[in-house]
Amino acid sequence: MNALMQALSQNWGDLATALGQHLFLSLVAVVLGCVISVPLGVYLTRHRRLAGPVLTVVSVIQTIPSLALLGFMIPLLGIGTVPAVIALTLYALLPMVRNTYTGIQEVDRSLIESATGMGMTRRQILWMVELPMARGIIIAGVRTSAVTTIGVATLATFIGAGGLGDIIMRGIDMIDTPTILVGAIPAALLAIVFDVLLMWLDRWLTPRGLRVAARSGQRRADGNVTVETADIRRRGA
Amino acid sequence: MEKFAVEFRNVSKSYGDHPVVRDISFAVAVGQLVTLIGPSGCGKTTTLKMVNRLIEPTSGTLLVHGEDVRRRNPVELRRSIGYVIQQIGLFPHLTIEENIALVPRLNRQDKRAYLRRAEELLDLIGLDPARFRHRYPGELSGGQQQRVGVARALAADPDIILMDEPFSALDPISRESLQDELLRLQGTLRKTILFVTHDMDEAMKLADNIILMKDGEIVQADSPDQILRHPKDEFVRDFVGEKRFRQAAWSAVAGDVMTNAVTISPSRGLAEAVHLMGRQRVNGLMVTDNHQHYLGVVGAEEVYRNYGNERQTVADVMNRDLPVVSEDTPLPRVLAAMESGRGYLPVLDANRKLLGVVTRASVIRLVVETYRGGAANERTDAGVVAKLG
Ligand SMILES: Nc1ncnc2c1ncn2[C@@H]1O[C@H](COP(=O)(O)OP(=O)(O)OP(=O)(O)O)[C@@H](O)[C@H]1O
Ligand SMILES: [Mg+2]
Repeated sequence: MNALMQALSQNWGDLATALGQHLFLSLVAVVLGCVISVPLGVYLTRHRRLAGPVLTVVSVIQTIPSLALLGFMIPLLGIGTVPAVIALTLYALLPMVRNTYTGIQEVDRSLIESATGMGMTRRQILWMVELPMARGIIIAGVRTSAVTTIGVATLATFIGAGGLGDIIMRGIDMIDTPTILVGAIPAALLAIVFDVLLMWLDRWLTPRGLRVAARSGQRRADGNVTVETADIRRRGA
Repeated sequence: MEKFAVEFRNVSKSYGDHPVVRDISFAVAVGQLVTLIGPSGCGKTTTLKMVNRLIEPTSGTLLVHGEDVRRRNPVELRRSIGYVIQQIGLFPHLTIEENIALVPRLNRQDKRAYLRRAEELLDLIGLDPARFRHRYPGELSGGQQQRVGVARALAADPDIILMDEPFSALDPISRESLQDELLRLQGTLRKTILFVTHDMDEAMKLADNIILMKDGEIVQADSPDQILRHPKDEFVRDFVGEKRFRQAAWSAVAGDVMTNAVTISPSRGLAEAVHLMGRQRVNGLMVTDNHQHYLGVVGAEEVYRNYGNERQTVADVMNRDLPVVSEDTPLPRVLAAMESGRGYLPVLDANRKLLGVVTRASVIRLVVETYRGGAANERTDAGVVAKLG
């Protein structure tokens, strides 16, 4: 414990900088990922033929080891913050695209039918029915992405983008466990804090009517949707 | 205003080379409630959805208020037509009030106006606005939800309403009460309603006209009365159900309306006859021998005319000349015979054995049951001779 306190005080100045970089990398990647994924997911529900191929590509990106993905950036974009953010963003796509797609796909057909029959336009149906109904599943995707991204961002140090990975690497080089922990613990805490914040956001955004419906068992719980890509491919076809 | 609110002219719909609706033509007059009925998969829903362009016909023309729907903007067309579906389709994330006010809101009506309209409609469908307006669909029973579904369809005051099996997912009691409610509303609102159902009782109860479909074609389109009187073929007879024809007053026979007779043997005295009439609350007794063979009738008339004479028995005073009918005498002849007789008629078999009697009360009961929708189906045997009131 003493060793840890000592390591903390030694790295104090660096820790603040590293944490700032880490937050910046993760936030930009998740926000960018969100901005790309949600419209992409919506687009796929409108062009379901593309859903299979696109989701496959996005899943393949996620199967690339994160370190390798960062490595691929170097010949293309060199080193630094920009390639790191791009790699992290690519990495964050899958849970959000997939959950947006399935979330909207799973909105009760009869709701869409009555909305159309009442004379709502496609756009109105999206904003007033589909997105509010799929909200829980979409946010679950954002939470998954945020937690993964904060973890993967510790590797950004390898392409010179800084972050808590800097401190962890220094600890590894020095074979000094307390220093490793000074980088690792804040990274873990950061992931937890984000997860909880997003959970609150979700609760806060859930309309009372949906909580009522969930309680009376008319709606599946919003967990993290884990639909296999194979399954999605079949639906998309 | 045009005479027809909705008109199908040689409309067909196929998926690939699989025809679903084949060359149907019919028209719905303004203010009529027309039911589409037929076996599952016969194309009822498809027909309905072509009216608000949820489905586009493959060929033919569909007119709404005389105008080809293809010339109308689908969104505007749909906002001018109410739509109610079996799954109700209320938005669970919106309150009851927001659900009802949705179309007026989309039409950019003034907020105060559409909230007042929602309140009005809640009143109309019998849900207390103060209690229900801020609730969510999940907090309502199925029957209440479908009432809201109907209110939502009425919100923009459309003059045409499409309903696709709106009550079929409800329990029988809610269904019955929503049907009554719809008839009540229709009595004042006079909307043009196209109503899909596969429940013949529901169709008979609600419809001004019934369109019977099979394999994408119209088999018969007529009023419930005409369908019962003149079913076009075996399919219609089968679909309507033999029981309903039997129950229908015009096709009934004496056997359908007769009730048990109160009988007396010919050797009894008149005082006994009076006592029996009083106890059974009838004004005539059938006189039968030990083997239930019909001999005649003693009514109050005969008894009181001869009451002074203590020697006389029922056999001495009974009337042997009253008209009689057999079990399969059609109802019109039964009624004619009753008019010339006494208000009650013995029903005999080929061996003149007494089977029962037809009375005014039993005929009236049949007619009432027919129009009430045939819920009371079994022939009642509680009635006795001339037990009116
Ligand atoms: N999108 C579609 N593609 C292919 N066939 C379809 C499609 N929609 C409906 N059908 C077919 O068209 C036929 C008529 O369907 P429709 O829904 O109109 O029947 P329905 O009379 O409403 O039956 P039900 O009483 O079961 O609701 C059915 O055989 C159905 O399988
Ligand atoms: Mg149907």
